[in-house]
Amino acid sequence: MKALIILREKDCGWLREIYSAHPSMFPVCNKPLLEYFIDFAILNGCSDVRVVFDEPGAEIERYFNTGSRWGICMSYGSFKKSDTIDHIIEKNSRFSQNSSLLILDGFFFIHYDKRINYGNWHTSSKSSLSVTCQSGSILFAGNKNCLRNISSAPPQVEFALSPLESLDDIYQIAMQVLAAEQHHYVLPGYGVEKGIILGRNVEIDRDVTVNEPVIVGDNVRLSSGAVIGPLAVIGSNVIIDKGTHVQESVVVEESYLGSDLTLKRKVVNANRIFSFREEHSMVSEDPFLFSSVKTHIPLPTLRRLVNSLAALLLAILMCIPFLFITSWMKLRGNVTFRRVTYFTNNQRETFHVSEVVNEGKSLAEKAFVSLSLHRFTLMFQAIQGKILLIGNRLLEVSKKNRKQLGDFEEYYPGVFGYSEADDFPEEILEVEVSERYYTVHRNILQDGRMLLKILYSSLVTSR
Amino acid sequence: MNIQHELHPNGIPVIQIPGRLAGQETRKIREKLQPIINVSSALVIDCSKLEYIDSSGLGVLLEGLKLAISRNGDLRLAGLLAKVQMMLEITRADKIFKIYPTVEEAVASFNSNTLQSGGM
Repeated sequence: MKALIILREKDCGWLREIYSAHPSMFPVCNKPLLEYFIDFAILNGCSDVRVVFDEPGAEIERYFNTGSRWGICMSYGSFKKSDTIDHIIEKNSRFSQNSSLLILDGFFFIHYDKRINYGNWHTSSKSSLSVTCQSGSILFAGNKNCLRNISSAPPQVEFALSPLESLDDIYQIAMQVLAAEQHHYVLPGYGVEKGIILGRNVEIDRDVTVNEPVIVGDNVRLSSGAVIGPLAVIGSNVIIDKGTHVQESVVVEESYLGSDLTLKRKVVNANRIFSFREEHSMVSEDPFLFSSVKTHIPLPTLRRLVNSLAALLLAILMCIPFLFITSWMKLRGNVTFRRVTYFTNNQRETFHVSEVVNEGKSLAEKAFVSLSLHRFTLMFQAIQGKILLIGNRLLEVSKKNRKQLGDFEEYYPGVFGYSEADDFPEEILEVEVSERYYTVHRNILQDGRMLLKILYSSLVTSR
Repeated sequence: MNIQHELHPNGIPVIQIPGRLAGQETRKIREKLQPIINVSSALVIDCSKLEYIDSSGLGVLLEGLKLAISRNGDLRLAGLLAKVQMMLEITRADKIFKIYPTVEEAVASFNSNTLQSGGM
């Protein structure tokens, strides 16, 4: 038997507003909806599956490829929006040839049980059989001519369809699968305890609480104090920050959830949050609370090289003004140096540097600050790679700062601080929030932009 | 952002914040709140026209609340739209602020307890 899966944009297009890939790839318990179709086709004894769509489905082809991972042969095709099911079957007649055909037409969820043999529900019938719901149907056709004589499948068939017409439908199904039907499907990950399924490369801090049932995807980080579940679906490439609670909720892949948040009966997809009790959604523009996690290959060596080269270039540019202005200030007798010790990282490594003490009173001193020359001596630390050109605020060695660094593993100071680019007043909560955010989300381009912003604002504000 | 400030007949200042309370827009409300709290530490923020709030907006309201409490007063929120309410719930700020469905109820809540308004 062969399976023909028909994906019509009119049935699933509503999901495109909130999901950028093909709607049939939307995950239910971290498994694409379409994969449930494939699994069901396999349980029905299909070894050849063709997926046809009226809108391009590159993600589908990339994910399922030849089907070898499922031990089947998969192929893909397209049809016109105006094509009826007869047209579609006709177009795919070379695929179906004379074998019996299982047709999955529409956008729905199939409740089946992998432990049941579905090879027999259709064999006893002489006519074609169908199981339907509001948003689609499953048809069994002995051959293509049988489609003229369709009758409903007997009520005792051991599967059912649930329509998918809103995100609420998908949410309800995810919760149902997690709560009561986990063993009916092959779900990605491995069961560490009853009701807890974890993917690969899941990093869980020591004091994270996981209450079953929970399913967690690949490459997930659950930070300290987080409480996950009961009834939580965490997609792949997700970061849940410190102290955040996720309960009866779905966090779609590649989402970042900030610290100390509470999610109950919500679906989060990057910065979009859907609430089901009140039936509304919200787009957060605040990256400290919700954002997308961009998956990219880290390039620490390249980044270090760029950092050192940029620091060298800046040091060369600063060299002459620094020598000229300090000489001028020396002649006027108002230059003093002080030796400072800063932390290099949260492992309490330190470095020493001599800084020019500047009160910013005279014209020379103002020029010194506006050209950022007071940071000149720090450039040599950045060239050596001990600190970054732009990173976290430099913290002097002190008891208070030592304590502050205790829970800031990613601390990496820079000659210029991230919070300076955001221009927040000193000593307010936003400085710390901003620093922690950029520490997690830093990249070379953004660092460059922020550095230029600091240099520019330093020039402008010191005038 | 056109922040409206009026004195309720009961003597409680009511500040209406329309539109968005996020990013750079928070500076205006920060500047506006402090002198009002210096005069009257019991006040109501009318959020019925507030469409969006982010963490910096919540930070400003928290600063206001902290200042009001330090002067034995309170800063109460009224008329939250669903999305703003949702943001407060997600960030747990709903556990910190006293929230009322309408400005009238928020103002009345000051009269029904021991808090006094004006020059505290």
